[in-house]
Amino acid sequence: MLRAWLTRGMIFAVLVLGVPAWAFEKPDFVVIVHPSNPVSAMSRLDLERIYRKDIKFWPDGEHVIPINAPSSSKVRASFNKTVLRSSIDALVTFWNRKYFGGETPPLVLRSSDAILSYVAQRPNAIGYVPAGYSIEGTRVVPIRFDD
Amino acid sequence: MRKLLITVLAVFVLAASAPPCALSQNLDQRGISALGGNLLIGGYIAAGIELLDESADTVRGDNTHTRQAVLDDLSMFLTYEMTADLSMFVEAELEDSLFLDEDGLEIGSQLFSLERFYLEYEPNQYLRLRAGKLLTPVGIWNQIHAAPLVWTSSRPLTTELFYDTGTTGVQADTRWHSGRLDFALSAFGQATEQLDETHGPQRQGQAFGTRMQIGGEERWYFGTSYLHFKDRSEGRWETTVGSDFLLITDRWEFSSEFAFNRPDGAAAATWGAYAQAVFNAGHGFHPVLRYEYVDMDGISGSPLVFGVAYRGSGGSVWKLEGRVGAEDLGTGGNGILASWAKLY
Repeated sequence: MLRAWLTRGMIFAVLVLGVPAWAFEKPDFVVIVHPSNPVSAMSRLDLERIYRKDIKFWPDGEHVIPINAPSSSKVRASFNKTVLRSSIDALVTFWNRKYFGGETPPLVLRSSDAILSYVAQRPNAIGYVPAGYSIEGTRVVPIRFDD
Repeated sequence: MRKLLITVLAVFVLAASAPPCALSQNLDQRGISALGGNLLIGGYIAAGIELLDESADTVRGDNTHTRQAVLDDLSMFLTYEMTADLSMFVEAELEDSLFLDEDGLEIGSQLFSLERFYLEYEPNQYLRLRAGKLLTPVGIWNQIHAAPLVWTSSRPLTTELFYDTGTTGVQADTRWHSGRLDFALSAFGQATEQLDETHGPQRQGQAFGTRMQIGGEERWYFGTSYLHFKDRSEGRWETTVGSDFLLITDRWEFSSEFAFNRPDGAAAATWGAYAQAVFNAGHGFHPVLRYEYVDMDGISGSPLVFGVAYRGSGGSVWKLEGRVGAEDLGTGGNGILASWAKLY
């Protein structure tokens, strides 16, 4: 009985509120780390926490250095939509408040080549580049979009 | 000296507001970074116009003007990452520094204040230590109170009546995640008095407190705070407890805070609460509505604030609001407030 009502409620919620765009979004980027990084896979939520600087350390205790693509790039827009799941407006509010607290946003590099080169040289760094991009010197970390 | 300080900060604001220069390597970052990104200098500026029907309690204790333009804040942050684990943060401010009213242009009498100055040590994911002058970790507003970050020109009384904005001492924070939930716990203490008392003696002497917070993916959280402190003017210990709630969606931001204060052994208590809703109407416009109720020492009031904030590009915010129901609360009464603020 309860399950039936829950199912009806969910169908109603989807009909009324609509399905969020990210539910159908297929990521068109890959997340890369240094080849020596021991992390084999990661959840979307942990990746979001890294890019919001709520997670600042890898499991082995090393500092995480998240790298962002330029805010005007397509790959950044795709990353914001599928990983951070926030509007630009909400992200601006979020980082302005963090900035007041002494926290700076992730480092931004000017191109995918620059991101690739940076991650290839630093074992603690994590970044993302468009899917299909040559990732020489780095390793792809599969992201679980199961939430 | 005051004019020199204002001039120096004004020049800095203009320089920092300019397009990113060669020093800045972080395209998303405000301010100016140098020393390989380890040093960041930023801040904010805020100015406003008040058309109110009562005089307000301001830095100028003798202020009797109800219509005035004020350069509210000229603030500068400095963050220096000494090592991966250790950093320093400084926020210096020129507050209520220029007034324009019926008497002409005046310079405020108490200009320069050190809002924050602390060392931070963060050796792992579960521990962060801060020592120095900090923002008292109570509630929502107090920890983001800079003009460009809040949606109204006026501040709810609930966020400033029951504790000092700053605490000089130490603070230990821990945080952890469980599934989709984020948890944070803080403990803090102040041994003697504030590091900088530009605005006169602060209320808190010795103090200690805790804050607990539970939230989800930076979209909502619920917090509770506890503060036990010695009231320096009354010479007695008091307890303040509070709770707060924040919910952010792509279109809405709802927030609410409650605070309750009682001197030890006394029957009388003071308390206040507010609830605020902000709607993202698009094109940078954010209508705001806030209702508050405060009951303090026999005086009670229920200010209602309604207005709109416009967020333009480059970190600037314009605000216009009306206020009713704020008679005899020491905040200037009812009327209209408008302001501009910019984060740089």
